[in-house]
Amino acid sequence: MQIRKRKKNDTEHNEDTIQLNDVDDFKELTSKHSDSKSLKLRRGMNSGVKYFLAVMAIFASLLTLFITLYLIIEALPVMSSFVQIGELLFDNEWNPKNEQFGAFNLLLSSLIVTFYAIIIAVPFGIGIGILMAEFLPQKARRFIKPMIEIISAIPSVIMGLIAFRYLAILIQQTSFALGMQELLSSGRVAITASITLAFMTVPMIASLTDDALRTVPKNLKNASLAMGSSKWESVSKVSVPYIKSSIISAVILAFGRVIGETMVVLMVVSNNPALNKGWFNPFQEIYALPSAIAGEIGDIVIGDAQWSALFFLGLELLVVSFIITTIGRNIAQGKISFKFLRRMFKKECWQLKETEFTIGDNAFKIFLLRLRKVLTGRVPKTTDKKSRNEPSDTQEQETRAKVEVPDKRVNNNEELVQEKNQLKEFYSNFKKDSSSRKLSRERIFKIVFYGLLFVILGVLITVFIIVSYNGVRDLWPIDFIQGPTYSYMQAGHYGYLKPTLGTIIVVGTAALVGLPISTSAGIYLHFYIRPTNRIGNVIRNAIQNISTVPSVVVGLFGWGIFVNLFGWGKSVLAGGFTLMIMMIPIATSTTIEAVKQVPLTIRHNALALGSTKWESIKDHNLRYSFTSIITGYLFSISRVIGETAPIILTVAASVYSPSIFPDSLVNTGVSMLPFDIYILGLFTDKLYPNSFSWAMTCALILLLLAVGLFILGQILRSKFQVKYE
Amino acid sequence: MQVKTTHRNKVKNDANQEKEYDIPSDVTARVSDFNFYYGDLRAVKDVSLDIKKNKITALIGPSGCGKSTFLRSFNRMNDEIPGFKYEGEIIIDNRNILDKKTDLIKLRSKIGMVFQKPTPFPQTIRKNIAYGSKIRGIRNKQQLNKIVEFSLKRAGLWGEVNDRLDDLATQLSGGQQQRICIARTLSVWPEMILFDEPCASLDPISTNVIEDLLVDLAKDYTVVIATHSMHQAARISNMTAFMYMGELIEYDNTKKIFEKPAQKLTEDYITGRFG
Ligand SMILES: Nc1ncnc2c1ncn2[C@@H]1O[C@H](COP(=O)(O)OP(=O)(O)OP(=O)(O)O)[C@@H](O)[C@H]1O
Ligand SMILES: [Mg+2]
Repeated sequence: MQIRKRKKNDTEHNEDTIQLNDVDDFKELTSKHSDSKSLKLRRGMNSGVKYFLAVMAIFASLLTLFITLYLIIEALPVMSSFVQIGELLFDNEWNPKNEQFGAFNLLLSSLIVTFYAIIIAVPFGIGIGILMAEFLPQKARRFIKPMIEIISAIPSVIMGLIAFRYLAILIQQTSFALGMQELLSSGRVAITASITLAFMTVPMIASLTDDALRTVPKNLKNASLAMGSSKWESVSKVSVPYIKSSIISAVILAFGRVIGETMVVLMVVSNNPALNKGWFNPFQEIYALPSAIAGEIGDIVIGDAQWSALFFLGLELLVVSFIITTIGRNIAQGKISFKFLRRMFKKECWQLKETEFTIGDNAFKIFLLRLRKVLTGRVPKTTDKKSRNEPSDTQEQETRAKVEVPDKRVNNNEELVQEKNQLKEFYSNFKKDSSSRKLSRERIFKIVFYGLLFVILGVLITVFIIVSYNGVRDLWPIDFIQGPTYSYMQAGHYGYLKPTLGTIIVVGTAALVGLPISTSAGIYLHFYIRPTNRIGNVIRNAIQNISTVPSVVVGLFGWGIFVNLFGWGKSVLAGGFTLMIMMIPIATSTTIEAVKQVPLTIRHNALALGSTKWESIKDHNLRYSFTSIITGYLFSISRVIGETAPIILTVAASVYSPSIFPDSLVNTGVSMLPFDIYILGLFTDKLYPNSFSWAMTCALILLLLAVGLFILGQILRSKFQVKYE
Repeated sequence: MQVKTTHRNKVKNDANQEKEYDIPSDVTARVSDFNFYYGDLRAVKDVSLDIKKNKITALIGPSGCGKSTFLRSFNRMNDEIPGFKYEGEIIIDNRNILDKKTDLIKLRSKIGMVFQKPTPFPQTIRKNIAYGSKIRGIRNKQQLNKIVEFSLKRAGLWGEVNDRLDDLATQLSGGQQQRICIARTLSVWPEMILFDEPCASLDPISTNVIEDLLVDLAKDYTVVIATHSMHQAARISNMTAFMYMGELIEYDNTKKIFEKPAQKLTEDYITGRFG
């Protein structure tokens, strides 16, 4: 000891010098632990965690399978023969009282309402997407993009109620004012729902377009700009074609999302499965698949034919949205080429030559023949004059062809010179007046895009104004701490503590169960499964596929399994577990996104220091991406907090129950904000004159929760994130 | 050559028993017939060489010749890459570390590695250095502080950072960050340290500091360094291995390699006559 001290004093001026016995001390220190039994423990921990994560991932991935299997099992009684399935699919008599379950018009209704929603949303979505990616100044973009994204955080039940109370009436009045009573006698028709759904879909299409445009390589854009094209030309001729498949996939994905949307159609449109006004008329009352499921499930006998038929509807909805979403995803990944799509729009593909079929062929065979043509691209040769239907048209085509394609054989110098001159002339003309024309076109498009943006922002602001104005109109501060009781409601007031607490309890249950599962699954998928691993991809896709299950179908599953089979009744647990299913795909992908941000080299450095795999993940990836993971949690919660369709099926409202806390986790009704909005919003004014403003107060609280969580997440993300070079 | 054949025979003779390798005491690692595959790509081909104890061995060669791959095989970091495959032997402490049963945690604390890009963890300096010890179960604050101090001193960084141990390590300069990484590696007392182009992203002055440090470290540790810079290899290494397209072309004293290379290829590379 003494020697050491002296030595230290000697060399105090040089701090970096090391003493010999320091080295020995150090060796002893470090070696003592390198071989201790903690190594065994660490290794055990490592593999233990691995298996735990795997089990969680596999559980999450099996959910879609469970749901599908369960729906099939419950629907089996009505699908016992092909004839029966055919009737279910293609008959159009939906009359459960007479045990008539022809669901064709239901599917058609869903398609009508979705189709028009997408038609309306596409120009807005793509226009705003292009505007955000290419034309908005950076500052405005930082402000506008979250504004647009907030729209997707508005719970659909709120939009449904507003559309029911305002848009439907507006449309009816417009129609009357224009003298179009014949076309539109009521506002509660498909187009009203379509407009509402379109508004809700715009952010999805816009942000997918925006993201895609940002992947366009800079040098491609620069090259086109350098050739003298205007910004607009470079966008429309280079960037947009480059992301064509992303845009198409965005539209298809939006279609798949909207077709499963329940609340808006359920609340806005009067149910009528007759479709009297023709197949593609949006100005009529309809009866969509999700509405049938959510609306009819309340009053049926468990296990009877209608029960099975509703499960069949769920299955149908699941399959349809799964197919649509899968097509959309495959287009995005470039697995489906456009040759086939392009062929679909070619006239020749749909025309059959006389030689290809005989008069006796039935429609089905002709359909198959056409389909084969579209898929294989075998188009009848146009030189075969006899097979043509319209000779005048073809003659014209031929003469045009002669003009356009110069005969190579008579190609001589004179012609070349002529061609050159033509080109020169063309370009000089082009230069003279093109720049002004280009600019004006760019200006027109910009004005249009800004117009679209302002319409959407205007609607957003209107929605907020409607909700806040009506929400605070009849509000007493004491309403916040009072539970709603019958007498209180008679006096014209509603209590908001109970539904708020109920929402927090149910969603909290969902988060408590769902988030650990999702985080584990995300970690497992990202770190323990190589991207090339087949089984890994199956698990990954299976978890992702949960998000393609329409919420009402998840509700149906929860109702069948948790409410009935497990005997939990409509309760906190049943609702929480159902919402958990909806939370898993979102939280899993946000977890993966979060842990991905930490560079691989950091984990490699930890491994090179002798940490186990789990230690390297836990001490680094999880630690540094902690805020991002929490942001993902908030985002996931904000996504499910406004879900209404599953709640209707799995949680019983207890508007009048006196206690603020649910007495028990099972078999006890809970009051929840989305449910109260739905119930109160549909109360007639005669019963409770103030019910609409009660609903709007609930909406305001729900909106503040959903949007608040969303904004909190954004702030967390921008403020506390560890930045890497 | 002789060594190689006898060695091979031994393996054949007692394939299933605990093998005894007679390796001279001045050799830290003996590589024999080593091959490495990325899927079908054979990135290192039939390499055999001895890494000398307490010496600096430099790996040089054109980009893509397999230096990093070879280097990463010593601490099995290549195991992180999908589709990897090892062939042959790397004997360290009388064990073939390429064996499936090798304990990677022990191996990696015995063989440290410093990567090309300075990668301090985005934590405080103290936590950076203490990390390796903490995961090994050392909890005692005093002991940890001692380890931190020693490691930083050994990496020649103590004087520069001792008054801000609780600042973020990511705020240091590039050269300091790299020395943090070296100190972190030293903190678990390895026998051999692998450096993969440790100066590639540093300025000349920081490079100088690190080179001096490497020479100093070679007193206590065996150092293997992959480098693009022939001058660096010439300046600091004792032994130099020249690799080309995955093959070991020549391996000898640095002096010999740079003054009288036996192979034409080596001479071309060293004199810069390379395509
Ligand atoms: N992760 C990987 N997967 C597949 N092949 C790889 C991988 N990493 C390296 N390779 C290939 O292995 C060969 C050797 O690469 P390596 O990185 O070892 O070369 P290097 O000598 O370190 O090159 P450099 O001087 O550029 O760092 C190269 O042909 C490279 O393309
Ligand atoms: Mg390298």
